[in-house]
Amino acid sequence: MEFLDKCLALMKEKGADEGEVSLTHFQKEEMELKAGEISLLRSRDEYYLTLKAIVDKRKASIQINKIDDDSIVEAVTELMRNAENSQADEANEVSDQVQEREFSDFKDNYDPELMYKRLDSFREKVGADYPDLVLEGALLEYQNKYNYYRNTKGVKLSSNYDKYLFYTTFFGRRGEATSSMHGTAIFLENLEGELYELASLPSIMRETVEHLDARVIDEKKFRGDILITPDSLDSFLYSILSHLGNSMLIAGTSYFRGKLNEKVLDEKLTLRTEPVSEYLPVKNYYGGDGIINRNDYIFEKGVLKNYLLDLYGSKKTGLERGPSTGSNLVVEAGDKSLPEMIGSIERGIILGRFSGGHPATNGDFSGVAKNSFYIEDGEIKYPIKETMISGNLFELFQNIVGISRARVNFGFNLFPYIHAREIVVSSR
Amino acid sequence: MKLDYLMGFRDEFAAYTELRLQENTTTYLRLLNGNLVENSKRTEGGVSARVYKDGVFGFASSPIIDEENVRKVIRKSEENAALLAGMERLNKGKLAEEEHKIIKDFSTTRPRASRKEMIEFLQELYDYTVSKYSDIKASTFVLNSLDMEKNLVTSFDTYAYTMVPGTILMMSLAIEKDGAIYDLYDLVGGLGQYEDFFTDPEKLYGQIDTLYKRLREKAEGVYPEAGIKEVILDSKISGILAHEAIGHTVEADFVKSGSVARDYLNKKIGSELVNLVDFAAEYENKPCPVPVYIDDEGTKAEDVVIIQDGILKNYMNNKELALEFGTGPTGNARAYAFSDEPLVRMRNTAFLPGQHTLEEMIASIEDGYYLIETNNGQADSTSEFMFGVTFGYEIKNGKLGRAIKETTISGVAFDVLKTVSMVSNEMYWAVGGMCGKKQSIPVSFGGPAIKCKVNIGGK
Repeated sequence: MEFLDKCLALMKEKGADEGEVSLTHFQKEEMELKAGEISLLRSRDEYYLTLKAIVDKRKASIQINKIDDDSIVEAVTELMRNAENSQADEANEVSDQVQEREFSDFKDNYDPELMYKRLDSFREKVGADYPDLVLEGALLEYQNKYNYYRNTKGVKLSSNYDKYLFYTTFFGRRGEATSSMHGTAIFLENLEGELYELASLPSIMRETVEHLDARVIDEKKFRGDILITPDSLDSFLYSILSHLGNSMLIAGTSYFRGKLNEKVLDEKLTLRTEPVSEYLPVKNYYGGDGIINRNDYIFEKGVLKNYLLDLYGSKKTGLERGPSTGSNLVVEAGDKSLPEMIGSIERGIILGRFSGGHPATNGDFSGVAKNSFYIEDGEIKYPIKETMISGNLFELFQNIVGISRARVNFGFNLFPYIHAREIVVSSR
Repeated sequence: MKLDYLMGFRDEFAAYTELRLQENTTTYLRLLNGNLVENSKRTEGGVSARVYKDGVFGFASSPIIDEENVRKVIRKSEENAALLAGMERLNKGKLAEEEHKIIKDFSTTRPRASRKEMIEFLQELYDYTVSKYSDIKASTFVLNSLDMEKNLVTSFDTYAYTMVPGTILMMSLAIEKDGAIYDLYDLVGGLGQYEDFFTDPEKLYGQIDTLYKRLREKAEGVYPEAGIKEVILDSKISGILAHEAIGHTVEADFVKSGSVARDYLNKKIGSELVNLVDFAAEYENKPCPVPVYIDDEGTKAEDVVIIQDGILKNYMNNKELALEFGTGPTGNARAYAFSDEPLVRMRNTAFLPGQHTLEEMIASIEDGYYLIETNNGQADSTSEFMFGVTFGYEIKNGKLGRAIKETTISGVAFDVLKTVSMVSNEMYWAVGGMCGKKQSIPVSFGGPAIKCKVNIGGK
């Protein structure tokens, strides 16, 4: 794309030693259902031009959403001034993994009438099947994304793909009784199927209604097992992965510092990053640093196989640049059925959703077990409310009892159920 | 200001239309262990139009601001409204059409600082910290500013220009004790630009000293005992209670969906000591941290008294919901970016101060906790809330005891409000709040310290 080469030439002309430029263009068409009414159709055309310059190992970046000549000259002038006034850092450089690649998964299937039909059918079906369920909101959005990347070392990359995002939140309401909010976000390749059948929606909508009869657990406090559902697993996994990224590894506060190729979590856990997965519609072909991502292990049978650093983090720490910076997570399926897993729990909870503070750096966490169920003697006893759980993130994932065969595909993550021990459960 | 330019398109409006030209500018500097790992600026601007037709909205936006594109955006929003109105057929009434002219500019009046000066400021804070405290494992100083500049013209002759900047400095320290890492952060800043707050790094040394002292206390602290406890929520936490646990349940869009607050209007929902207001722009004649004088639908913003003497009095709304609820709009319709549609949002939400001193409140508790700092909060349709607590103390026999390690508190807000037995006579506004309802937008919350009962997580 000549436009990007022009930006790089301008940076060079104004004194940049190295530079990179990335242009993202989004077309977004959103239809929104709010309190039972489809009341918004929103069209957006978005551009993001990101320019990065390095002068004497001093770096600055600037992002604008204009692509006319005057705006670019103004942005580059300010960029160079900011870079020259910055702090020198040997880790500042652009990628020299020279490649010229084009990635495309564009299907051109925007169809506003089909969007309306799917949302309308979702509204009708939910109303008919779950009269006590209140659809707080539902949003269906078509996204068409183009990205072009160039740097002064000759890297030339581009990508284009389109997808749909479906996002919905709901809660139960019967008389004056209200249950906790639940919901999901799912990315789709197309609108071939009905929305109410996606991911875990049928089960979480049913459970949300069951929570209108939620109870406080009789015992005030006990230690027990936890069955983490696919919908609540991200709360824990993203906290673990924050220890593998730039920030904590550069700061030296990561739990996983110096533990590459060591067994750090339970051997039953295999977690992969699959930025270009055949079964996940979301694609992350390459990073903002101009390096092509790859599908690879993060933890293989509990062994730490890769950090998730970008190019700067890699240069700064002396560790390898990650296969991605943590996108598209896939947990490998286990060998248990869900009834088998529940049956093996003497006492504990099924965690439907976790509402908690950020875990402390040492892994301690506590929070509210939302949309959750109490299990005793291998049976689900009742939906619970006003229940807190606490434990340690790393200890929990070092004590996995089993992983389900079944997994839920959210379009950007593929997650099973995970049974682990142990946590402290307390109620009022 | 581009109001004159925007007003030139008024003849293009064929129906109820809001035409907004907006630019958000963010500056972000991050010094991690003395290394400048982020030095970036982001500018996002453009034009958007929203058209109302028979109960539905059509919206369109473009980053390109020229005559042809502005016209195209207006036409596209009309087409979207017509397309959806044809499919959904809601046939609702007309939205309120008030006429206002408002100009408010909070740009700094001081000479602008260069990027070099900002970086040197952060470096001086870092140098002070590591030279005084040799056991710091990690330190982070983040400077984050957002200037929101909006021009709004409507089909009912409202025009408004607002420039509202916010600047925050985050200071975070980490230490290691017995192989475990402990960290704590503090925020400084508020309404204004960099130059309005950060003229001399020495003025922040006292806050760094307090942060380090608290961090050391936390590392040597104890885990709180889990269960229902009598606590004092300091103003940062009472503010997040006001916003997350009460405020969201009384946003009219959520009330319409069926929030728990739907049944509580004009009913007693808390102790008589509880008074809660969503301030639009000013508190005691001074601008709040996120002043909203006019909202993005062109409604002149007013304070909303949510709870008065323990009774739920009002909801926050926008024009569409005011029509539905048979009331007037309150000026709570806010959009984050030019490409975002206005949603019902809070502005500056706070409990009102009471009569007691903090010392009297501490002295009144035999066995409980004084909870001071929080790092996040979430609430639910049931008004059940969860807040992360990053710093606090035990209270034993009316006196502060040991510091506590990180924990979480929870409760059902409308139950907790009934347990409020003392309210302090101070007022504090938290800074740096961002609310993430569909679009992330700056908000402020605050208030006094309140004494109540909550469920505290622990070991």
